Amino acid sequence: MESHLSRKYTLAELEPGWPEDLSTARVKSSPRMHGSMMMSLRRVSRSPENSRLYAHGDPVHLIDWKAYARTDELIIREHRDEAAARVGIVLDLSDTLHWPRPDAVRENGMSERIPQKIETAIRVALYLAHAHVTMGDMVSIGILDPGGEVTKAWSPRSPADVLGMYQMCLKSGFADAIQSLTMVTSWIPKKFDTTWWLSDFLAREIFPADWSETRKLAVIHVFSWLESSSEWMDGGTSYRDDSRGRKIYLGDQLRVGDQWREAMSTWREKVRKSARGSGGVYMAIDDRTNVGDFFHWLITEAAS
Amino acid sequence: MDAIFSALRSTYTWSGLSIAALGLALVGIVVWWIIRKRLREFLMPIVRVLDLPVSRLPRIVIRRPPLIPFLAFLAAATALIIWTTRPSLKVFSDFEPGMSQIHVYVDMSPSVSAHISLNDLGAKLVAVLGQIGPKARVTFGTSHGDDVYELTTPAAAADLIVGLGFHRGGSKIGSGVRAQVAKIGDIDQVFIISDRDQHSWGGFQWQYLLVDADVRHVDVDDTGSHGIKSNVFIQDAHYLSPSGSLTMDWDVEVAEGVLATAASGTLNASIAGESLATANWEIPAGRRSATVSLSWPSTKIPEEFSKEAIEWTVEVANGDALVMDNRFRTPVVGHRDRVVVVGEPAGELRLEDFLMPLETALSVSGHEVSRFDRWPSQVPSQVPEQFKTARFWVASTGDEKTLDYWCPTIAKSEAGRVVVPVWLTPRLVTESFAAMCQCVARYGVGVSKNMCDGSLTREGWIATLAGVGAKQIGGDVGMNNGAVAMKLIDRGQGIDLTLFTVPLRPDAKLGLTWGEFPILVKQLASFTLGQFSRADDDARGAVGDWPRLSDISQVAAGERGADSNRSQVLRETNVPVGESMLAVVPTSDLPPSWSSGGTATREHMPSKRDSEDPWPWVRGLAVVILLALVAEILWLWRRWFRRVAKVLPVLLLPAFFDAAPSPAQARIDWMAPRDTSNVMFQSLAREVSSRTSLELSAKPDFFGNFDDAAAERPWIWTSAAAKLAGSDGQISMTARLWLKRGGLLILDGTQSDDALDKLFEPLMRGTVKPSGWMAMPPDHEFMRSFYLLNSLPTCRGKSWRIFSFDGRVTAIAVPYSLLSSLQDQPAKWSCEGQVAYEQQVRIFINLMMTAFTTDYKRDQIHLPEILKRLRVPQ
Repeated sequence: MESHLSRKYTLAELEPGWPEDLSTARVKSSPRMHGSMMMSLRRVSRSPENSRLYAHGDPVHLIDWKAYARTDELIIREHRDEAAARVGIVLDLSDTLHWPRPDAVRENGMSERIPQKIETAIRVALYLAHAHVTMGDMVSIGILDPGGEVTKAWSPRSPADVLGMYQMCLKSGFADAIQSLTMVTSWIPKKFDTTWWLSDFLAREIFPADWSETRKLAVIHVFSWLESSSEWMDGGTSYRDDSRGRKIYLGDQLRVGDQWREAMSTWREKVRKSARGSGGVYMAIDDRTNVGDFFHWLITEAAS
Repeated sequence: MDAIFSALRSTYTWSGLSIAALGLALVGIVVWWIIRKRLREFLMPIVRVLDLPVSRLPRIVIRRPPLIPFLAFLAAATALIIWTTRPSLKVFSDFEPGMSQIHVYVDMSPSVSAHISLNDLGAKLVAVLGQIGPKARVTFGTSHGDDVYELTTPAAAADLIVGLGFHRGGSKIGSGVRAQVAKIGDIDQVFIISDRDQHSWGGFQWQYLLVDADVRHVDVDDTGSHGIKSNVFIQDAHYLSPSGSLTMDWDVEVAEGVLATAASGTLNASIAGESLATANWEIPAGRRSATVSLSWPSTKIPEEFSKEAIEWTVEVANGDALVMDNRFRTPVVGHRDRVVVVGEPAGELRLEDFLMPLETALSVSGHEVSRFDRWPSQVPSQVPEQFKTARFWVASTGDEKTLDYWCPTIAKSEAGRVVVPVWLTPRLVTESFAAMCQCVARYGVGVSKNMCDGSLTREGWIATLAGVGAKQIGGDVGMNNGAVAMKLIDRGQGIDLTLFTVPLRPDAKLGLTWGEFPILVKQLASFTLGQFSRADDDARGAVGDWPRLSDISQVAAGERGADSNRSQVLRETNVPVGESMLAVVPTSDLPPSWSSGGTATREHMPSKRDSEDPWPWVRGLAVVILLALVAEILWLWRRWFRRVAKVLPVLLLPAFFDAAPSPAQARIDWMAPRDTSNVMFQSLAREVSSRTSLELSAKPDFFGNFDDAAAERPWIWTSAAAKLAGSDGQISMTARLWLKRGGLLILDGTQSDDALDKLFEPLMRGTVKPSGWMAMPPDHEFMRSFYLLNSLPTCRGKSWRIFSFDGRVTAIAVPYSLLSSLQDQPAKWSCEGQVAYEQQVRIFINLMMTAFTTDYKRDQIHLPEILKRLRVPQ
């Protein structure tokens, strides 16, 4: 299979179980430095951060005698126990994620297939679930209801469960497949060691503060590439929002200058701040985001 | 619905309505196309959270509109639709073929009220209108004016008649009918509901109307008595007393109409509801009138009633046909005549005042006297009211240089009437009459300037006047030299001059004692007034000049604009004699009489169009648009009002542009010899405001010369005394009057003694001479007006000096420049010794207090002078 480094895959093509996942074996040969939070690095290393000076009371057998011979200092090699992490993946399936509708896209004169935001979000969620299950973590995928609470969830037991779900998604549609498998469950957010949060933040415009107690939080802001750019817009068409405020703009106006890009950037920054305020990391993705960029973010920010 | 359709059909045609509906549908299609095609929409939820700088697309949002603007909009839209679809809506609706246009004219003159009551007249109108029938289009009008009413129901017409009532003015049926018919246009028949009064029917050539229309007379008197009844009325009232009399005597003429029967009763005079006098009267059989005398004390009618009317009421013992003319109004006459006396005053030395005996004499002989120092400015709005209402003016002469101050300016009359008589009197027997001659020469009455030699004597002056046609007053016939005055009249220019050859005041040398003087003045005054007042003055002369309207329709047509004034005139007018006489016109001279059941409406006329008059509608439209605008502004204002914080600065903004210092602030009024506009008195102003209750402006007011503006100031500081002097080194007239009126001159700096003496020489005249320049006494009020000063600083041996006039300080000569030592950058002290700044400030404050407190005297003797200084009009 062609590597993501040689071909620019996008998130619209992301599948669970991609070779470039987060499992330990892959990490070893990848440029990343650290694993998931709960991963134990037992590999012998001479890097100084994994060793410390012997302190009175430490077990003698753990002294690195070779190092003592070389440096004449008593060095202790540390290792950590590994444990399964509890991972929560919160998926916002609000109406706004079902955008853009294929018929509207066709009416607008675009022939290519443009995935809805929810498809991108579920692809990412399943990929993350597969990676964590593979590493031995306990994963729960929770669906946000309109009240902002998670009342239904699904916990894959094995990587095969995740792949099965993916197949089902391809067959019967992403949103429907996820909805059919989830069941009512007791979902206690505080128990999670890691929480992945996928939403477009249109139904709820900022990250809810009561989720900030999770130990590790990563917020993935899901867009469609139609939202990221205004270049595809038609001057004679007006672009509207149906919610209570009901705004409507003419395409001619929106295409003028950088105003769309700047408004989007302001909006992302606002969500980023609310995520940061809850102690999380943030990334904005759309269906044309490069998979490599996404992985790089996972390695450098989300998993650190 | 049917009603709506029929209303639409009467205004619009079916084809017009179809075209309008088609047009509306087309507009709808175009709007739909624009909305559907041009505005293709694409759902994009993200825009709800984006803060985009572009404006949103305008779109139609249906919301509940605010009430007031919506109503205003509805009114404006309705008005627009109605008045733009029919820009010249007809005054009356279209004729249906076969309909007649009939007009009914109701005479409501006083004489009609002698024959029929108001309710009966209404009933009569109902009867007539009922008989005319529904087939005719009927309008009606009254003698009150040229208003034409369209008939709704006969009862409504009767109510209108009763509401209007009879009018006091007379009516001329001819002009009334003509005006109303002109408004209606083509007409088929005119009904005139009236009596047979000669005055009302006089001058009506009704036969000319027959060319276009049929004229019928409906007699209000059905009894067949032909309208001749007994009627008593007041024909006239004459005022008899002379001006200033203690009683007011009147002769009132009570007259009877054409039936000269015997009659008796009482006559009462009243003003503003208060009875003045009552008398009995009697007209014997065969006589037409009787004269009744009434009299009451002048004090019964105070001055403030002079605009009211005296109301005369006659009561008739044995009944009277016409009640309306038993009340009669005349204006108030007999009040004291106002006289304006102009002359330079002698201050509080009243006995020294040359014109004081004349003022007193005029006052005791029944005149209101107003005294002025000088002739007023020629700006009409600044001329005091007394000059306008005065019956004559008196001026005492001065010298030739100050001609403008005492020589009256007389407006030329266009009507050949005397505007106001003028007396000119010299001050001294030995005085040169050249100044008076110069004054008379201004009027162009034959005296020219080259006659006015500086050495013109009294005899020469009399001879000059006699030469230009002046008449002698006093003295023996043919002996000019004995003349008290010469009277010069130019009727063409409206000039009446009484030029005295002797001073108009008691004088032992002339044999004119204080006892005789008022009698002489009274005779002269009544001679001056009697000659012209009654005959020439229409407004106040022969009584009976209270308006007596013989034709009310003329007033109605002419005074439409001034409604309140008009109604006042109509309500208070006296009934014209013609109406009161109750004379009748022979039946043969009247149009054919109409009786019930006539065939008035049976004639069919071809279809006609009425006259069109768009103006009422245009005016109505303007009013509606204006109201809509006002409502809109009110609504907007309500919204703005919520943002008071934003509105307030806008409201206050004009204050920044139009800010003026408080008028209570004191200023240093400085007549400086050079431009000193950069000199400030900041520290002095601080000292003054912290020590006294007065605020002193830090910036002085500068005057280049002593002009009229400077003469309005309470004090003037100057180092250049010469600026007040004329070419002869003496004080100018303006400055002299200012000083006499209460001004304080502060000569700030060294002055030459001689120059000062010469400058103030004109103020040294008079029998009780002022003491002149003197050193400031240590117990003078100036030394204790605020601070108790022990001494004043001297400079090079010179001390402070004052000039007192009229019992107060008029001028203060400071031996050094006080202002220079008080200004923010004080000048170097160049006099002997050292004087502390504190001492200078104290001196300034005492000066300020002396200058500004002129009303400390409470004695009544000086009150006229004090009031004058305070510019309180007398």
